[in-house]
Amino acid sequence: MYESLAWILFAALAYYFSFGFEKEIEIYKFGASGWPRAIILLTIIAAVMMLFTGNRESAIATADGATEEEIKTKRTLGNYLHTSAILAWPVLYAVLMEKIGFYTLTPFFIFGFLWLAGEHRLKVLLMMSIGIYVFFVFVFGRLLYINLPVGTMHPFYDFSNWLLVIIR
Amino acid sequence: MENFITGTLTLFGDPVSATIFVVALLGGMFFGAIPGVSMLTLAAIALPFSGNFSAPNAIMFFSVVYCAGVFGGAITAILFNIPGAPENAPTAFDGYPMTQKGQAGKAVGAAVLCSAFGGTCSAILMMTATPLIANWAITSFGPPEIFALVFFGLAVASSVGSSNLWKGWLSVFLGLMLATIGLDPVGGIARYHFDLPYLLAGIGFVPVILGFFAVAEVFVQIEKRSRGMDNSPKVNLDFPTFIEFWQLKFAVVRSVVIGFFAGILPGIGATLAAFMGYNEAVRWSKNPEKFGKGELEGVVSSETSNNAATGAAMIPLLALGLPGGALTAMMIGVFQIHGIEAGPLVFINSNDLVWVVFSAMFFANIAIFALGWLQTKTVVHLLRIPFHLLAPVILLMATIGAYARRGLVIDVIVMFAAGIAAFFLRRSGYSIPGVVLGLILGKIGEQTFAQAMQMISYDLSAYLDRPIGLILIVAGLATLATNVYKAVRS
Repeated sequence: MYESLAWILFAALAYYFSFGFEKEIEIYKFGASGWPRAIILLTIIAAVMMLFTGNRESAIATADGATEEEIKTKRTLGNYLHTSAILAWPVLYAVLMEKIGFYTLTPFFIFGFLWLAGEHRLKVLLMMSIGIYVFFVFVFGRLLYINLPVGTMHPFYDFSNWLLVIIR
Repeated sequence: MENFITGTLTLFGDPVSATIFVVALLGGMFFGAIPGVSMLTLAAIALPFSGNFSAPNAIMFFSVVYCAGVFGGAITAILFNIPGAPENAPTAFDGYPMTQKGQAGKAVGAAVLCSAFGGTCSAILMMTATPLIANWAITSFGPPEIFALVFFGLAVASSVGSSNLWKGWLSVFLGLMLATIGLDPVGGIARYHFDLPYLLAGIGFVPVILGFFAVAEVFVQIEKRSRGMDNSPKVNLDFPTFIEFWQLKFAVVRSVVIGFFAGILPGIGATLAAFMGYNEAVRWSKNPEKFGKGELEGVVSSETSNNAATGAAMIPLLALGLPGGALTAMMIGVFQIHGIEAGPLVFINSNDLVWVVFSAMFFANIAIFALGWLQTKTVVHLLRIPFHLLAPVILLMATIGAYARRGLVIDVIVMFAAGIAAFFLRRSGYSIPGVVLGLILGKIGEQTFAQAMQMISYDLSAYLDRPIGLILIVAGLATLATNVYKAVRS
């Protein structure tokens, strides 16, 4: 039921914001808002149908045999926090990338993600972090010459440029 | 036949041409396999230098890159759920679940064989009937027919990969809503941009697809591992057997036809061809519920269709001077650099060029088979690496893929946000293929709907005079009605 209501709320918000571009187009009678509103209407119909027919679904079998039901049974506070950290770590990496730059941030990202993924042996963590980092810097920075963010803050910006001069 | 032999001798008799052919083939496969750094990147890099080649060599380079690039993206889609390009996205729907079931060799083998087969059939059709088919397709398929095709595609999409019909439809509608962000295709009016300049250009398709597939998959697998449900795929190098292929003969032939005709239509190209081929496989299957969970037919249909579209895309380009997609548009630029006008006269004025291109595309598809077989025996071994060690590599490849296309960090943020959204949508039984299909078809659908309505003066009865459009609309409605009936009855 909550899912259906969430969809209806989503559709209502989309409809509200569609007034922001409700402008006529001389050559097209449905205007800029006609198509989005048609989709909104269909979304509401599907959400209502889901509400009335019941959200009947079997446990969704994943390809490796585990089911979502199995995952649900293993939900504890610790697991929630761990999953949140797995989801948040890459977002933090992406948010900081503009200022700190790809070249400075990436080894820490790899180290942290491997740790969250369950690798707690320090030697493996260090070797993998450095190995993957060197591989990516060499392939994308030197061979393919892809321009990646160098950061905007001192001293990260200087480090990135120093590294690029060295590898190129 | 004489022209084909002459083209082949020109291609392989000249060491420069042969070298360019090999470089284009390997480069296309390599760039096609790296997300974000697609065959278009290689083509864009090569474009300024194409003036240094002879005209046949320059055009041949781009056509071979096109064939090889479309195939290259299938490997990462199957092994790591990272489609190298949008046209490989449907390959991941079933290819990656096959990998998880220990059938990676079979999935990659099917992709290799079907890519080569689809591309070769397309090349042969292209050689035999270019002017005839081009004229028919361009005159018979206007915006009303293309919109009908999109409607039909969406009707089928709702039944792929979700836990019930309504969630399938809601997934498609979410994709369609995401596609409305940015400028509207008729009046250029900004929609749902919330005063953010980034959103004015619409949601970037590459970051979203990388987020939905690669990032979400990493999240799901790492979460499972952290809860003691790690189940690493077994590495299996078996090719599909002849019997398995024989059982899928109708799917292969159907996908060649779909891919070929989708490739001819300007603006449709290999991406939609792959989705349409996959959708039709679902629609015709006796067990549609198996799709999205590791069905060989899903990989076969998608890879046959997208490669069949490559040869077909050359038909409007060469016969009418109409590019069907980004890469063929670049080829128009190559023609201009060499002072040649693409169009009907190219067959009279530059017949040697046309046949070198035809021969190169034919042999590129043959070479894909040999090189792909080699790839199957080598690349699949990457799966022996424990997934948690591979996960940061996948995330970094996706990060670079999302960033490199436009040089915007916000694309990386969008990719991770899409990954989180897909993680929760998957967990709740929604269809990621449905969202992606809605996103792709949404833009084409709205544009062709607006054009169609203006063409037929908002009179839907005009479809009665357009048999192709009418058939597609009726087929879409029939699919819709059948699915709703089944859902309500169950």
